[in-house]
Amino acid sequence: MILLASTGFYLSENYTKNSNEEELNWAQNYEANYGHFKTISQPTITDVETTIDLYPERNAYHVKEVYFVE
Amino acid sequence: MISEILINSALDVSMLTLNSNDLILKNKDEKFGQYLFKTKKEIMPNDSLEINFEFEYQITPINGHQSFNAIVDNGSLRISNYFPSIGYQLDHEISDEIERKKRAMAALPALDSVHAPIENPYNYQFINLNVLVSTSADQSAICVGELTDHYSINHRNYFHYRAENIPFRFAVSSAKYAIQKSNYGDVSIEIFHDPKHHQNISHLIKSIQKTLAYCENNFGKYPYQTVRFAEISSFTRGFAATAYPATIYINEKQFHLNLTGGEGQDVINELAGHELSHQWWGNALLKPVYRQGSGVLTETLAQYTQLMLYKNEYGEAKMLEMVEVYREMYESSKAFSGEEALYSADPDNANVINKGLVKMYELYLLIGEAKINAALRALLEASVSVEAGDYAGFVG
Repeated sequence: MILLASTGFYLSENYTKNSNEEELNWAQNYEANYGHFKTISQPTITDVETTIDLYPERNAYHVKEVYFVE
Repeated sequence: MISEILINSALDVSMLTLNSNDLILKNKDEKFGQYLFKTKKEIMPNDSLEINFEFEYQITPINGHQSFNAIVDNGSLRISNYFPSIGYQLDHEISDEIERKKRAMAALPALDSVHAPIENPYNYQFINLNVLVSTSADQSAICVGELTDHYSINHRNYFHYRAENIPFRFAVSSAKYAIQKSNYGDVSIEIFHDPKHHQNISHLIKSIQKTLAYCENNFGKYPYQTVRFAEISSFTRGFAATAYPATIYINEKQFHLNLTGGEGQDVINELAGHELSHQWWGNALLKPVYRQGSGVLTETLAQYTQLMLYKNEYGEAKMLEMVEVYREMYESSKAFSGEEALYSADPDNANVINKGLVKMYELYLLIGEAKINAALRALLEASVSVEAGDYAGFVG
């Protein structure tokens, strides 16, 4: 059941930055501004090399990474 | 041929560096987290290029919450959701049809039909993942795939994980874990848990061993050397457990359950059966193309595996109890959304779980476990050869 419960649950409970209306406006504008990229061929990521430094005591992390795409 | 690349950064992260020797930044749009690059020369098929990123994330503390984990999980724990992505992000779109209508937006295209053609060869967009995770001196970090090395430098603990040919979907957790180890044949079993939550660990290990035995005997070899279950804080709401390559994260609530009190279900057995079977149904071995019916190949098959394991452990009568639980959920959702054929079901609809289990039970009554399992083994073998590029018109 788990693959279904993927995104959004944290946002719905704890995310207070934007109201729902603002988020919807944002999504609508994103689609209007970038929708044409749906049909533009884009490379895909084949390799991810990354360091993830977790700082649990201050609820933060820092990431450096390289994507290899083709 | 590719001449422009659109990179999407999660709005919650601060992007510190984003560059590539092969690309020139054309436009940066902070409102939408979009970076548009032009390629210095046109990219031909099989050309490879490197893109470098550096970003950080700071969670805003939430009042009154003390999670034992102190996981840096920004709630979803799926850290790959916060990694940059390439191209247009369909999941940013408003999917609610009524909302789209209200805003005079065109309806979204229907989900691909189960019969829609599939590109040959199909690009599964699998990645090789090489991760070095570090955390504080009193904690261990859990990621996905195989742990190839770990060490400590300057009061930090480092864990090096690698996974090959996996979907772009990975997670990390970090906590003051206690570890309990066991094995099934040459597969190492590791349970990372809060030292206080030890009550159900040995039962979990037995359930994992039985699941590995059942799936290996019936479906095929487990694809990794390690099975890792890592407890995460109930702070991360929304699921009981979630499966990644070689690693399953399990909500701490499941570790608290009193399994001996009354006639309740054995949730640990169900959970180990369902989640671990996702290593066969839905990760690297069988990754269906997202479309109508694709949820049958992941959720429905995990439900079936869970059901058979429960039957083998507790007998037919208890199995029927489980079937009835899901039948009730199936019947009540039918009242709302009507009947939906399983083979063409929306993969995000709970039908693939509820109706899926009921229908697999009916199939079990009709043709029996041995025939179903033989068919599933053949399905997996065909799927693996498809992913290896040997596409032969197999749709599943």
